[in-house]
Amino acid sequence: MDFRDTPEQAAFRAEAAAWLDEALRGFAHASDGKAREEQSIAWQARLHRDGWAGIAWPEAYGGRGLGHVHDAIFNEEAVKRDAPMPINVIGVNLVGPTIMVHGTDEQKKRYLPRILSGEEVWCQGFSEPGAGSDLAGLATRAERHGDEWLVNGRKIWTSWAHRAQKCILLTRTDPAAPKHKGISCLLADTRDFEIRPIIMINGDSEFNEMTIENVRVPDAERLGEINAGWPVATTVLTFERSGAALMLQVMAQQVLDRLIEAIRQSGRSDDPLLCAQLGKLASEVESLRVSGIRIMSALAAHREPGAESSAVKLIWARVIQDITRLAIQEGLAGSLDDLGTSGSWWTDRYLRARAHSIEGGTDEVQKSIIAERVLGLPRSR
Amino acid sequence: MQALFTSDQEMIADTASRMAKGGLARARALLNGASPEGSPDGQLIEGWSALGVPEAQGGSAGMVEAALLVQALGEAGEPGGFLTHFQSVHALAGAGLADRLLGSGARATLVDEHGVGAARKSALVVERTGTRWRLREAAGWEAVRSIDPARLAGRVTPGSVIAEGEDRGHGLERVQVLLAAEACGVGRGAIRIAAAYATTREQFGKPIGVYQAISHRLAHATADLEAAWSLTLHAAWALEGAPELAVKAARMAKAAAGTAAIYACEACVQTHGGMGITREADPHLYLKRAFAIDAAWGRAAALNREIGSALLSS
Repeated sequence: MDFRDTPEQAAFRAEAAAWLDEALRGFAHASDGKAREEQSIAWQARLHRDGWAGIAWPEAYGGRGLGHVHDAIFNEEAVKRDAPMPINVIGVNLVGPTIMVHGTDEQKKRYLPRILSGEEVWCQGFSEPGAGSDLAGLATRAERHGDEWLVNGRKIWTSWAHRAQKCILLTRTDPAAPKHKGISCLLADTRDFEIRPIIMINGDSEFNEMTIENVRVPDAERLGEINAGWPVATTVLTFERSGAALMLQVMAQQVLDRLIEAIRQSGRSDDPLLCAQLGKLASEVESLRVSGIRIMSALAAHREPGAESSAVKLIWARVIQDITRLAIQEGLAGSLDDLGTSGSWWTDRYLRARAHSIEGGTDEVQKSIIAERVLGLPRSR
Repeated sequence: MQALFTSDQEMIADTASRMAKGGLARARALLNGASPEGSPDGQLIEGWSALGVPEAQGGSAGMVEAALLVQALGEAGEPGGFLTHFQSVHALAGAGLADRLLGSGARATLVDEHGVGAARKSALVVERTGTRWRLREAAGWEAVRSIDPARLAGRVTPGSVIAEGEDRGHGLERVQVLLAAEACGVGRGAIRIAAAYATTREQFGKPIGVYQAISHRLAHATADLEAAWSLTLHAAWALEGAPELAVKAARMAKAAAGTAAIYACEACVQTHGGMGITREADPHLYLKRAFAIDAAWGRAAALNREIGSALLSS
């Protein structure tokens, strides 16, 4: 058992850190949403230019051919330095690896290079207004017309859709089949989608709603077999979970560091109740770090991570919610006049954090997974 | 990042689980004033007392192995006197004196500032004064009542001092990590019997584990226990691999494990419904053990204040 980097990992971390320090010299996040997106586009191009865009991608597809641990180390160092999110994070982390598993040679050749370069930005058309936690209940219809699919439906919570050219789209192709067996996955152009940004409770518009009306997608753009889209979706969701372990920890640590600074500045470092709460929150944040290392160690050794991986998402959401709420309720966040706007860091972060227990699998779904897979309890649905 | 168990370590956990089989039944026997059958105490003290102690003091393997052993005993509900003896050895290891106890062949009890420990008879005791550990003879014992009726507790009349020394080697943190590991095991054991009960007990025509009001409470407890277990393994590793982190890591592990174990045991009581609040059913055995562990050598409430205070002053 060793919680430190191996010498090889440490060397890679140092190399990544040096590159990031250089690439981020003088960088500051734009305050305006549009300008921040431009920064994300520029960052994707920069990562690609210097060979950091596809760390875990095979060399044959333009990547570095390293493992998930290296990817996680790079992400950890990038988040520590407050680097921008690359615009094609969904393409590189989810869509590309899924095309590598399920795609035809033609699809691999056509799409993979443009994902890494950021030439084609991807979004993920999974959730629907009527299919959230019950994703397999999705209703967006694709009907076969000759060599094409005619698609009609609505998708929601689609990050980056307004910037994307392509969408990995789950559609219902056999309404008569059991729900998991009538889904197909299409690689669609977003050109003909109607895309509406959704204003979130903190005023940002990170997600979109997409209306798809009589959009035609060639059958050659189908990923996987007809009505075998669910295994494709499962592949995407697996990639979604494994990439985040170390990054989540850093996000939580940054919020905790702010809390420590805010308590110091308020002159209340001797308040025993505040100290006790801080101590508990700090332990939870530390648990994310050490659990993340256990998870990555298992992945590096090609083993299935244990029960600790189910716990991480739940605790991550809770601890950031608890820290930001505490700061506001203890009066450490300054005036609440900015509540509901993007004016105050704490209120903005608190409101954004409400999504943590919903996005990427709600708390309720995570708990059901633990109940069934770890505790062996009977299924509730 | 190689935070993985070796196959030897996995074997220790398996062996310990097997040895501690029937732990809950032995705890129940003690509760009823009977003498427990098939206690692995002798075997444990004989074969495992030096586990995790530095080699220079006569030990073998490391603290991760020690944590796995204790976790398995906690999960089985094992009530015996091995744990306090094992803690005594590790406390003394901090003062470089573990070999004095290991070499004596005698049993020891780790006693608190009131001279109270989790045994009613042992030839030796280990106590802490200030930052020093002291090994002394026990001149006499009187029984005391403990929150945990399934574990004997006694107050010692201290006898002559055999050895003492400054805790320069994280003896306190070793004890805290062992207690944290035991707490993780106790919580896990409680969740295991709760899940088994929720799978068989039926209401409204279904096993109650189908209802998310039941299953999600147990899942919540499981997540907290997993977090505490990761912290415990990290602290166990730090004692040998990164001593500069050991104080903070051990505090975090002990605080998180104590809190998670108490929550898990409460969830276990609640899951058992009416049976959960009786002495006839098993949940209270775990619940009371969890409180006894939390109270020993650093309560979660106090440790959390220390952790927070240290962060604010650094």
